[in-house]
Amino acid sequence: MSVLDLLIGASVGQRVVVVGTLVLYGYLAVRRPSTARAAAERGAKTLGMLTTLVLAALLLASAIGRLLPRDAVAGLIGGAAGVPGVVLAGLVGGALPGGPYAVYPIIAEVADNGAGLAAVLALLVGYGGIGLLRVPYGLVFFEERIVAARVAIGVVVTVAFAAVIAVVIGA
Amino acid sequence: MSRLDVLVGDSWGQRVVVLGTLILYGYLAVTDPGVARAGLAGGLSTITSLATTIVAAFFLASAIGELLPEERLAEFLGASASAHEVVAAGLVAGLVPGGPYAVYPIIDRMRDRGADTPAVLTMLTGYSLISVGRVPYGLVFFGPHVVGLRLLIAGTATVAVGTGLFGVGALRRGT
Repeated sequence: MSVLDLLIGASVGQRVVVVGTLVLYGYLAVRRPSTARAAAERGAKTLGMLTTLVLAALLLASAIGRLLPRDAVAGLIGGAAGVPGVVLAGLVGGALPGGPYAVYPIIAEVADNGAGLAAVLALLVGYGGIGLLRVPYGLVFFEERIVAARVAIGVVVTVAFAAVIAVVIGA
Repeated sequence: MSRLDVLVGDSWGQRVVVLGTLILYGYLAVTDPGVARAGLAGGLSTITSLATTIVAAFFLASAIGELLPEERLAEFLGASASAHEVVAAGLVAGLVPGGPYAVYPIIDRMRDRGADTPAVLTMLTGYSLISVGRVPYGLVFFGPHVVGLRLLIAGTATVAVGTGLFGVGALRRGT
């Protein structure tokens, strides 16, 4: 990773956030200095209050990622069949840790192990919708009931769409 | 907020994260030091690579919060929001780039400025499901067919969830 990547992020999404922040504050500093000052003060205060939590959430996700038996996941889903198998794939997708750069290769491995299109789609939907490993990060910003509701909605959406996908596309 | 709250969080959920991390690493250090080391190294590498983005995200969320017109936001995403506005919020959240470290602070700030729970949950759901930032990775590993189907499912689900949550919100308000 280059120094530039460290400074402004390695992905397009990260660069949009970093450069967007600089551009916005540059604009505010010129046009609305008091707003820029108030926003910077509030941002720094929030960052200070949540730093420990953010660091813990990232370290926790890393440890859980190391504990995941990837071969077992690929073997389990690769052999899954029928509506229950596709639904199971969706739920397992919800527990996969890491960003898409880490999880998508696992799902591709599952596809190579014989999983059909329905199971791959269910894994992708479950990974996004449930995103169990986003829970620690969610708790940094939202109350438990909001985080629990988000996960519950993700589970319902995953199960419902996995079942529909299995019927429409065929497991 | 006390110093203890800053260190371990001020809600039980936050404390579970901090203490859970310490307990897990303590357990791994004793039972499987190799995994503990690898987890720590991976986590520190992620923190290093995301540090600028995380700091920027906090400042960006704060600036967006200052710029959002509170009354207008409360009108669009508050208790008086229509189903269309709640659904639109979810779909727009799906277009915001970055991981949760970048997007959650922004949604949290919108809630501070008047967004109601149905709109907040629809935004969290839309962001989780659609997440256009994942499209480039999807194209690398699965091709346009799978990516297109994923986005179709994600968009449909976001519309359904937004409509459902709007209905639940309206029922709870008795309107």
